[in-house]
Amino acid sequence: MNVPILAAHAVTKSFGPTPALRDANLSVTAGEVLAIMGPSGSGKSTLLHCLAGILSPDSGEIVFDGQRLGTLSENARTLVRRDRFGFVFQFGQLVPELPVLENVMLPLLLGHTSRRVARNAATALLDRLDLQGLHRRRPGELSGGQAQRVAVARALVTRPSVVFADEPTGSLDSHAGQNVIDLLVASAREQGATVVLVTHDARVAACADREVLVSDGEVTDYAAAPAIEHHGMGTR
Amino acid sequence: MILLAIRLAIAGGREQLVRLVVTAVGVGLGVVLLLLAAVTFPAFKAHEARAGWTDTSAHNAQPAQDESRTDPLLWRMRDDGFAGRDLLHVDVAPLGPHSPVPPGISRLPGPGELAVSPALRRLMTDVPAAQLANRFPGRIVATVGRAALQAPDSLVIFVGYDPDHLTGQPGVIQVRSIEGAPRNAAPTRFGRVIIGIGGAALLLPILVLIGSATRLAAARREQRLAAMRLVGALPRQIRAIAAIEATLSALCGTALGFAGFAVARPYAARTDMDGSPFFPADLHLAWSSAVLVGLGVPALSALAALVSLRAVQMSPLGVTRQATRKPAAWWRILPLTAGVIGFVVTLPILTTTEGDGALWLLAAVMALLIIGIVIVGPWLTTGVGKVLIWVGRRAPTTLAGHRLTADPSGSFRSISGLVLAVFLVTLISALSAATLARLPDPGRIVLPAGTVGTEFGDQHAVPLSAERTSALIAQLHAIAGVTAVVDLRTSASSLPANRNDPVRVLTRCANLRAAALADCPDPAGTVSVDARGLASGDVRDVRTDATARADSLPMLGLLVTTDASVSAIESVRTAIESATTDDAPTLPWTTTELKGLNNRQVDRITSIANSILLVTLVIAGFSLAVSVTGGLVERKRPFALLRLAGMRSRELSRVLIVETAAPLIGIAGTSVMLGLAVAADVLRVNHMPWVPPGASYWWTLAAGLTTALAVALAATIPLRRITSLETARFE
Repeated sequence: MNVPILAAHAVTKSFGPTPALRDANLSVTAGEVLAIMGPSGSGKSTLLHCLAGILSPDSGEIVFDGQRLGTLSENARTLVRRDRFGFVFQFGQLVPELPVLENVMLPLLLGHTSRRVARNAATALLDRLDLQGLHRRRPGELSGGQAQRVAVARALVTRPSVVFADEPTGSLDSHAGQNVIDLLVASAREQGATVVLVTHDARVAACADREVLVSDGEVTDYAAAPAIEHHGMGTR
Repeated sequence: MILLAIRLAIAGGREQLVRLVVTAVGVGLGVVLLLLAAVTFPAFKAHEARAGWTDTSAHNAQPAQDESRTDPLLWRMRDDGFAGRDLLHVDVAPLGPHSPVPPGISRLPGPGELAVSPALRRLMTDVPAAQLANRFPGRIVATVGRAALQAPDSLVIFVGYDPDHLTGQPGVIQVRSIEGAPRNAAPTRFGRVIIGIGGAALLLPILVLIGSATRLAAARREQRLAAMRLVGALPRQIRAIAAIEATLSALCGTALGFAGFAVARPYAARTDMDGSPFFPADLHLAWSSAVLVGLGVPALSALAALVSLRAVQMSPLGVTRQATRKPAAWWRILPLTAGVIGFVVTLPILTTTEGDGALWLLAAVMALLIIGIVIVGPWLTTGVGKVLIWVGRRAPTTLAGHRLTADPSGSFRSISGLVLAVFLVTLISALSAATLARLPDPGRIVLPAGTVGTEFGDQHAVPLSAERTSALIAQLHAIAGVTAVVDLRTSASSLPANRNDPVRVLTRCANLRAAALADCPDPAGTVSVDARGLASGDVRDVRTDATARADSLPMLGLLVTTDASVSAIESVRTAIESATTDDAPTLPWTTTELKGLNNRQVDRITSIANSILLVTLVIAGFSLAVSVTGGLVERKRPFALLRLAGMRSRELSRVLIVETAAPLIGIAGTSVMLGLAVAADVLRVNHMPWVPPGASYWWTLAAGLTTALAVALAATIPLRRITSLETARFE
């Protein structure tokens, strides 16, 4: 039986009077690609942020690799994010002042890896993601698809245990989006990384090993959600 | 980490370069002003130190020489003038070989010898002798050095005499030393408190400017740093990066500022902040000040950057979810209300109490008022924003209003420095106006412009023989530009029985009519005038006198009206001085100088206050310009999206204009009203009538606000380019 690397137990989270998550339970096994689906405002991004230790739940707990994230200090959670997690968001996660190569090197540099090692690792990943020749460009000089592939490279450069992707194709056309998601999933699988993917795009979710549905802050297995079409999700 | 921070600071492309340059220029400007402020007080002190000898008396507070070892010196110092400039005329006659020597000369001039300042020497060469040089018979043997000159253009002359000649003459005293204590411009502790508050009024806008420059485009930087937090940068790493980045740009700005100060110093020396210009060396930057500014500004910048990071440190989601800014709450009005109530309640106590306690109470109440204004600022800005939303009929006004209400603290920050200055300067201007109203108003001086008169301080008639008197009057009539000569005579009957009663002087009615001073009925008759009123320019009290022939009486003084040309005025003055210099305790004055005697001190305070107002408003303009630039860089994408949605760049400009001008005018207006209200209370308690500040204040306020807005809005010029449609694309 596979041991879960990441789990949420009875997680509740509200923003002021608005509940975002209600008693959410979820577990992800190592190497699994999990898609979290749901309509806008359902709480799927909040769930991802809680799983990643960015937001602290009001109640319940998040366990990563046997550690309860809630018991860790802010610094310790930051170190987990830096060394064990990778992130791909819809936009805005690249540092606009830095060229592509240094954006990818950044997590390693922050962890005091030598520049030479960081450069080699970043170059290898950029090559893997078909971004040769773009090393010196700044984020503002890239297309949306290129920028997302840079973000994927940066998420994977530390060889993380889990990659969190929040609507990574949300701002891309279907072709570019598919390309990014294929590269993300393939590269993560090569590294043995778990992927937790938030999307409302059924085609993106199709790349996942498993899907869960978040609706009104509650998490259900996709298989146990017969009325999925009623949420406007389209068909698989 | 340091390398990464430096890389982020200098290698972030064109936008980052613009940010670095604007920050460096803003900080540099602040540093220039700080350094000028740092040298201002030492420069004042240099003025005061070099003016100390002019207070020489028989009993000096701090004798420059050991009086037990010196011989006496006959000393007479009189105020003279030329073309509106002060001229210090000092007669000296040593009574022994060891008589004290004033600063600036190596030995006392002997009989018939003159020692003159360089500026006076030039003047004596440049203008006809009949207008100046003839006042000082003798030959120039020495130049008065800097040690005796308050300013490079000071007019000073030491005239050497034989002791026998000077002994017994009016105004001559015997001294054994020269005064060594500096003349104190603010002799009272109250004066120092006022100077301290004035200094704070000027310093605060400079610090705000530096702070604004450092926090330039802070939101965009915070966004980038939040993105770094997301990929695992520890809070201390973020703090280090932000601090290093801010310090680096502040260091560039500081270096720029020191260079700017070196360039500006000679020009700054030419200003006459305390009434006369400075030698460039007076603006001496002490090592301690240089180190304080050189290290303090980068440290302050690093601190400002760290303070601005608070929102980012809350969560790495700063990149996707901005922290909601708290609205400016009503409680912000409480400190100001407490300050105003405290002021109204304590003012009557302050006016009747003396000592340190009262001064500290005054300082505390003023501090509460000032802090209150700064705290209430964001609340007022919110109010201005709400008004804009309420009255706004068009999109730009509504957008500007929402921007102000969404971030009132940010909008108020760049203008917070001027609030204090506008408040204090308004207060000072209103008090000065009321004080001036109590003094003889230049408008009430009926002596026409260009009148020269002898001093009417006592009852000593000018002891000229009748022949010399007639000759002098004839000589004055012969000077080109002289319109009338009024000779004022005295008789035993016109002298008062009581020493304190007014002295009445006699003259022919025709003389007063010729000078257009009075409209007495009988031109041939004799009239009397109050000499003391005459000394302050008041000749309204003219009475007919029974004395038959005033011409035969001893002359007490002269009033000579001219066409107000410099040549006429100074020729008249020189003629009078040449004829009477040995015998007059004081030298002739002009109408301009008469006004100056009455009002110079208050005029100077008003002038300094207006200068502070203007400088402060212009600094606020630069702070606003920095904020506008930062706001543009920060919001270029939303603005580009607005343009994409059909908004014209002209309308975007209007958004920036309204959101810049509205708080500036609104907050400045509030400060003005508060200053006027506090001044009214001060006047009420002191039983003085309310007088609004003079026209110069209102002109300065209007010019300052206009300049500030012009400077700030100049920053919107690149709006069209910065918000080009391609900016709307994904970054």
